[in-house]
Amino acid sequence: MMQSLVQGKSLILSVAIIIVLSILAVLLPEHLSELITRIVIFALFATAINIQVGYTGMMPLGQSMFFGLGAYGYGLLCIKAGLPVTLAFLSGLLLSTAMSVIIGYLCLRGDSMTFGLLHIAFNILLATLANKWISLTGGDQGLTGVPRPAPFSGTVSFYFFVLAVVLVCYIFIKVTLNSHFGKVAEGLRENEERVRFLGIDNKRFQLVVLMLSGLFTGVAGILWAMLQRGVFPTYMSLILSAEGLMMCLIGGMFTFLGPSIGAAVVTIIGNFASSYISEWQGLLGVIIIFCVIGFRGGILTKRRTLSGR
Amino acid sequence: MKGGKSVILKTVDLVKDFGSLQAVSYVNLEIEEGEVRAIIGPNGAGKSTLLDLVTTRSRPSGGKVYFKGREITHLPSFEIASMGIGRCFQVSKLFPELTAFENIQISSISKSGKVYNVYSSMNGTMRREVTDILDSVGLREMTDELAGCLSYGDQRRLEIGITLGLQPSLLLLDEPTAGVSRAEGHQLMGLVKNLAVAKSITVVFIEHDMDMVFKYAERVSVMHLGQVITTGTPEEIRNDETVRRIYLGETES
Repeated sequence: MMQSLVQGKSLILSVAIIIVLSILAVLLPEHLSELITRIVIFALFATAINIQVGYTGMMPLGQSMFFGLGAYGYGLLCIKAGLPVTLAFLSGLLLSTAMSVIIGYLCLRGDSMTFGLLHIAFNILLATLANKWISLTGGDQGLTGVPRPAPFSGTVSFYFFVLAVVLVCYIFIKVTLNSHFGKVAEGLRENEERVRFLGIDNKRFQLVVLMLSGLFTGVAGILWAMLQRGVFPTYMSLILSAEGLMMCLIGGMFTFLGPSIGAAVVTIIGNFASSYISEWQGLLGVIIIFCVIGFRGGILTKRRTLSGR
Repeated sequence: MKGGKSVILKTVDLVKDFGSLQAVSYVNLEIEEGEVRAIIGPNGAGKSTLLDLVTTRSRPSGGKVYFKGREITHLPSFEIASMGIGRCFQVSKLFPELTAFENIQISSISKSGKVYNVYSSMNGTMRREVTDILDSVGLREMTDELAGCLSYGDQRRLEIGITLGLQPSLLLLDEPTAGVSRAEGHQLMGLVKNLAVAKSITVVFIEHDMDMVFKYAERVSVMHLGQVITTGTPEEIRNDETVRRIYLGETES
């Protein structure tokens, strides 16, 4: 009863957010609707990361590599192989998903500390490849001329394309997190050993979580490549990995929409503060310290937590 | 198959070395189906380590473990759990920020084999199974309380409840009554004993409190310095010279 009520509320909330975003995109000047597009893409990125962080209790310190893999997969196949946009989109997804399974498998060999460190190591490795394999990726110069889907090349129409794709992803993620699978994930977050002693292969389960997270991270990466009409090594930088985690922390990782709010905060601060302060990430640091020590759980906090009492 | 009862758990020459220390030393243990067995012994006798070896929480240095005739020595813990061995730990391993209901729900999901079911909503699923278990461990009132906010005694009950979701045929309890009041301890052990009878679960429990042991165990195994030195009825153990010496020796030192 309580649960369905809450879900009803969050449905209304989601619809309201979508309507407001849509109206804003049409009414606002173009550079601001582009800002909203960026927020929506990063919201998906953060939500994908949060499947691991908030729901399963894992610490993916290098998640931007799958954002970059999706983007490079899509960009390269469009430009170098001349694939149609749809096929390149699907292949980019396949690449980021498959790599998240392979890399995930290797990262899960040890304990949770090893996981985070290996994750960073792979992130650095791939970022270096993107930077130095100039004949393929263009190095610093990146790949330019990456296409958007033909009917959505304008700023506003592309915005609606992004909104639709992200919405579909959100529905998938939400359904997954509300399922049996999602409940077991929460158990894993709370006590991995207990889950193991309840007859569940914890490593295999985490691998599936990584796969899902990698899939949706890849979607975000591809959308980003489309938005920027290019792919650059910064798409898999450690800074971006860290920002993704910050979005989860700031917005509230124990809620579904928290990371999206975090994404909005981080992106907006990045957009405006960067014109005044060159080291605007320092400001993010301050906000995180405030959120972690002051809020215990970010802007959106589930009422029902032990630490929140 | 001695005496008409089958052996549910058997260890053969089970050994665990920690460096030069042999924590478990050639243990041969046979637990019969349906019995309630206590394992006693002074601190450091290797009781918890023995349970760890059976559930492969740590790897044995030698020897074999059989469950229902099948060797499980090198199976991963989760596989052993899904075969029907439930484990309760000395320090409760719960899901602190989930409700008592959800704690047991996860175990029922595992039992039903729907861990990877991504598209069926959680709402109300397994309500009956979970509520039955909450009832049987006396936590019905606490259904929506967070596990981390329960009293210590209730957490011990929930720990037992979680493993019941697995519908185990063998329950391994590590000091189920440690840290709770004597009255509550008796309630807990009474509960375990009832469950053992009602759901025909075999129970092995580690216990320090001799009153509990003599009251609830059908047979008692005594461990000392990594070895099982004797097994017998509570009456036999009470009158055993060696056992007396070990316990007296411990009080003296």
